[in-house]
Amino acid sequence: MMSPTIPARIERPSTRHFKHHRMIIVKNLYNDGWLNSHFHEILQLQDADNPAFVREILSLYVSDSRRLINLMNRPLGMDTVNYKEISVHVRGLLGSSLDIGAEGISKACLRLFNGTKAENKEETVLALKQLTSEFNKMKPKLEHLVQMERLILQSVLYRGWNDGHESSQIGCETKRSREA
Amino acid sequence: MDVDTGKRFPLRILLAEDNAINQQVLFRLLQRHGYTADVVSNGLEALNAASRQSYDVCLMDCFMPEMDGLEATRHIRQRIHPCPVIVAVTAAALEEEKKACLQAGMHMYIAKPIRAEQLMRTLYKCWQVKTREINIESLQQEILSAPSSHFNYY
Repeated sequence: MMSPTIPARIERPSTRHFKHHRMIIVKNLYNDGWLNSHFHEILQLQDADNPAFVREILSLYVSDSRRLINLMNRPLGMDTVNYKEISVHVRGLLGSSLDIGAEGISKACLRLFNGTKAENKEETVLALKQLTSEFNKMKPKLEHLVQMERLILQSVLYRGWNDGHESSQIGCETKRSREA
Repeated sequence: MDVDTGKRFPLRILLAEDNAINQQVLFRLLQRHGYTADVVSNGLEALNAASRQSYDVCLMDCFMPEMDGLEATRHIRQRIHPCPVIVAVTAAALEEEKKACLQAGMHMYIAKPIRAEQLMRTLYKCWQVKTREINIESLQQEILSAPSSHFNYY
């Protein structure tokens, strides 16, 4: 009696397609200077135990960056500008941008940080405008990447359910062939 | 990434970092190498945690609300014996910052973005301190010569 042939694991076309699309998005982000090679280290932190790590980190980064930029704007509206308060928020954004490899935002943060150190209002206002502009350009690209990560995870989970369903069918066939 | 590093060179780690993204990235980096860490969000919590239990190393962000990393370090060095190896973790790696870390009593310094290899080298040194292969105070000599950042600003 021959054992049934178990088919090799093949990625579903949808998972392959989404992963390919993700690769293109990331490559464009590198080529356009939005991300640097450090982002590769972030990708490596995602595995089967933490399949949603990249999506979670990027989502958090986008929402936290928006919050920090809003906080940076507030002191500039006062008669006396509290540069220390702005620099605290810039440091926060610089740290998270460096940690995920967001090169464009990191550079914009540094320009703003220099403005606050010099306590130059004109320089600070201009640098903050540039930072805001960089963020507004980068945000939809990161959100697109987050969306792709979500689709990949969903397709992998669906495949896992389907594989479980197929495995139980193979098990039934094995039992039937033994009984025959 | 070697998941057995934490088993081969076990360390009790305290991570003091207020930024949620930095917290998650650093914690995950530690996890992938077989380490875990207690996480706190400011210097005061770091001081309280270090008072409650013994740590081998404290990864300390320099700038945090309520009590920054420099002040927390001063308190820890005064009150906690034996003192954990305190590693400064910071973004804008200016020379004056390094000097401030040294004066506060921090033992080592790593600049963001933190690379896995760099973090593991740092933790290995902490292991050598724990096993008394090297003296904790000798680590400070390296602070001023530590690389400022992997990030090319311009």
